[in-house]
Amino acid sequence: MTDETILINQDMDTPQANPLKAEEKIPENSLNTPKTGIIGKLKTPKQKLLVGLVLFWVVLLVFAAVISIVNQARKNLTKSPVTPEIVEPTSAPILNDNQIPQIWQDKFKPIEDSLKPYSDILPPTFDLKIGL
Amino acid sequence: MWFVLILLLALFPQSIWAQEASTSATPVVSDTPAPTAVPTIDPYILKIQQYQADYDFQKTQFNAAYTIYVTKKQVHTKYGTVITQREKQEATRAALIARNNMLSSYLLLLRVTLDKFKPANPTDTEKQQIDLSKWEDYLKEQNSIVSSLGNDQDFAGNTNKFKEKYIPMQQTIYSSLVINQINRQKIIQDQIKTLRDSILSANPKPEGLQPISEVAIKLDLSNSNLDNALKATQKDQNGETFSNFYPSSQTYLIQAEGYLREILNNLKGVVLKYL
Repeated sequence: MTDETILINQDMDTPQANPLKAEEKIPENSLNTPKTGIIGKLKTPKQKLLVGLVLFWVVLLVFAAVISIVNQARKNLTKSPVTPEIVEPTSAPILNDNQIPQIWQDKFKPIEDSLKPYSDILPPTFDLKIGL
Repeated sequence: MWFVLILLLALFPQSIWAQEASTSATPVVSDTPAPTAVPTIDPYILKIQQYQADYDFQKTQFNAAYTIYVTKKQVHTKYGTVITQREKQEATRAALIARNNMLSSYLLLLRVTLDKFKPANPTDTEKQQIDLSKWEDYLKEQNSIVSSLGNDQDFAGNTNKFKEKYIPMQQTIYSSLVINQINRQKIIQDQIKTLRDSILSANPKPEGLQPISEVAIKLDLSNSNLDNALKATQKDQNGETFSNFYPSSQTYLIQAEGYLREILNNLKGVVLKYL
């Protein structure tokens, strides 16, 4: 390391020689928010309170509306019955009773009713050794 | 306060409007009462329901008495004292009487059931009903005998006699069931014949005459199956246990009914195609 470079490095410690310049002094009034928009334009605290209240009510109403819609949707969901999928018959029946004229349907009906399953009343089963 | 109100309205709208809804849902009651239609119930069905209820009750009574009998028998086998023996005999008597009552109520129910299709074969059905009635009397008589039984030998003797009698009793019971089914099918046959005649009188196309003529053939086949079902009931009962013909009779009855269904389908086809 030469004597010249040592000198340069030593100079860096002095504020004048520091390549990073010190920040300029910020004016005190610059920290205030810019006076733009509705709130920015309001001057008195009373006005600010009024606007705040209005905004609060708007948010509340939106919240209430959302809950109401959700409730309504849930109610509708529970009310509507789940309809099963109707399975189309793969093949049409050979004899469709609906195609038979009503006058003949009335004549077939009693016979079909008579042919409905008829179950016998069977005797009771019991232990035949009672008393032995 | 407004906040609470709005929040309530949002969260529970149904509770707020519930009163209105319930008011609108209230049915309007008219001043004059609506005429109540008195349903006319077939007296036969009423009678059957009554006897069925009685039979169900007697079955319950028997099950309870039988459970006590089994318990008392076990206790006597274990301890073998005079007291346990007396208790067992009392329980046996109660179980036998309950059994007879149960069977008697069953026979009565069966006898009344036969009335339904009796017009198909009044003579044989009547004979069957008389036989059933005789068995009812036998069971009533048995109840007074059982009440007088005093020792284990008497009970054993009575039980053995009943076992012998129960074979012809079962024959009567199962024959009645088969005859009832035969009567039922005979009535359906008559209904089919009437329907066939109606179709014929409606002048079907000539192609329709062939299936109509087959009705008679199928009715014959049905009848021969019914005859076989009846023949099966006349099986000799020589053994010590009942040789049950009911399953084979049932097979014939099912075949016979199959022909009736076939006929009905064919006649429907004639009405659809040739009328």
